[in-house]
Amino acid sequence: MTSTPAQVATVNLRERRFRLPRGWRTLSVYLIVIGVVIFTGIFADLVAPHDPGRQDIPNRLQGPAWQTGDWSHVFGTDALGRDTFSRLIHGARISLKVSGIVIPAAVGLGTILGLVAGWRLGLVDKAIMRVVDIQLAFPAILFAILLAAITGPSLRNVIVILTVFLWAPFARLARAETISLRERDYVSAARTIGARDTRILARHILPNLVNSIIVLATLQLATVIIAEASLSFLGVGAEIGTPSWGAMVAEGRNYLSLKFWLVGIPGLTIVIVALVANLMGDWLRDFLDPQLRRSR
Amino acid sequence: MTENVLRLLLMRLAASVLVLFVVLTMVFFMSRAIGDPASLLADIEATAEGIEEIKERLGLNDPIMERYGRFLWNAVQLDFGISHRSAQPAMDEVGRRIWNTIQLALAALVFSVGVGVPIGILAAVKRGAGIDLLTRLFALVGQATPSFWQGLMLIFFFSVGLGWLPTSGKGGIEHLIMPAITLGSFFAAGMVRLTRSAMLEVLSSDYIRTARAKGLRETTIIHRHALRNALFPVITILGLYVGDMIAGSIIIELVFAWPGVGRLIITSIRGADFPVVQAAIVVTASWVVLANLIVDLSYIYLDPRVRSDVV
Repeated sequence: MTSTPAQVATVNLRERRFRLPRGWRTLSVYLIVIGVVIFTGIFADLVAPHDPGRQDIPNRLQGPAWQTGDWSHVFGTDALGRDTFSRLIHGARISLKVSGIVIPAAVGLGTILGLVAGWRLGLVDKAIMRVVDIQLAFPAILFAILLAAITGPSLRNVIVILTVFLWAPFARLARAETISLRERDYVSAARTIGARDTRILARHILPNLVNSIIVLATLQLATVIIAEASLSFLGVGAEIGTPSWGAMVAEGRNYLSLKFWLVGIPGLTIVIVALVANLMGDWLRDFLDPQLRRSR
Repeated sequence: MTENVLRLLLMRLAASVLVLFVVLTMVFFMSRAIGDPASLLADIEATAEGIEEIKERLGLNDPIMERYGRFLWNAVQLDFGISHRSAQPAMDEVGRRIWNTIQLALAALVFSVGVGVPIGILAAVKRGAGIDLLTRLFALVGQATPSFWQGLMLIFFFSVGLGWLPTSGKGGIEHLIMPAITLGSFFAAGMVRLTRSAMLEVLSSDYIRTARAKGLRETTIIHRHALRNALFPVITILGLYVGDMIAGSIIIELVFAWPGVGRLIITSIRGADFPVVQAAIVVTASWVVLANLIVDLSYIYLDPRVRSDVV
């Protein structure tokens, strides 16, 4: 039972050599899940066993493979005979596309406006922050619906609406941090030697913001995915017939009592991806920005 | 001091009016983009002169700013025109359903507070124990679950599977249970987290240590000393939730066929019934703004620090 100090040391060494530290192991699990989503999204055409739009009426509403034994349709087929698995894979592409545009756009817009507000203060700051306040009091979903009513549902609408409604938290964050940094000695020093505002912001302020912004962006990822799914579920998101995860749930709804998997599988996919995105955000927050954790 | 409060009140009020003004403006100009209401109103066999006549009658040939002014003036009087479908004032259509939406939002609020606050307190008091970990797990999964899917799952298990509750529609209290839980559970998760962290903060403060040092019983400390201060942020966040709930109810109403304003918006869009869509959106936005205003005001009233601090 008792082990000599030498033995303990070798055991520890061996563990350290062959395993990642505990925290990093959980991160790698998250990264694998997100990586799979990104990979299948990008290479959807190659990965998907069937064309997601191809209808096959005679084989409609087929159960998943563990019920039917037909492994060519792993998750069965929908009401039009389209392969659920292939639609899920192409759905990943839609989630990827929306979050891949919305998050960088919201980060860029929010960070720049937040930096400017926190740096210039005064009237500029008041104006920008008033817009942020108004923004946060606005029910985004109403405008998504209104826009869809006018132009018809489209992914472009979803991207525009989500960007317009998601930059505000980034602006708040960037402004708060800029205000706390602007009187630091090294910033004053840079100003004294005559550095231009843009240079100070880019070289001395922005680098201090990067961690918090990465954390917030990761935490917003799940929000974007769920928002896109919700809008597509309502029929005001992705174009009709697009294999968005939310739209798939909406299409499967009428068969809820008999063909449970049509609703269950795409919904579960959303939950898993959103959950992992949030867990990854929490992990990054603890790792990069312990302060943010305390303030939340 | 009082002057400061008064100024703050006026500022907040002005901000709310501004938000409503922006909403109305966006609704007006966005809905002008939809195209020509006259051709929507006219029947299929109408001639070009017929459409022109309708345009003239509705004042659609007037300059845009004049129409905008008229729209604002009518909107202030809650007049959004006549529903294309029911031929009744659009506002009446909305008015008939707004109570259902409020009822749903209130029930969801009661659920989220009734479940979220006690669990949050329990998780904080038994920090690190099984119950704490379990609630954190639930909160994590809850935040990752889209409400529409959660609603469908509840229908599947409790209506289709067990047959305990009706799938949808409006009737007795049993019709309200699942929609309220679905709408409320997202907020309940937030409530748990908020209560837990507020409670933890309070429990580690000096006056609690003093109370412990005096030898008071733990239950007394929690009930008499900790709870009051911990619940303060919880109460102030409630109003924000009311606003979010009214907006969030749109999806829930569609899932459970609940005859509220949200479902009216969706069905009216499908029926191209634009006056109703406009009225419903403005009414919903007004509720959200009103809820936010009440929060701001209660903040000013409850927290003396805000009075001197902001603006």
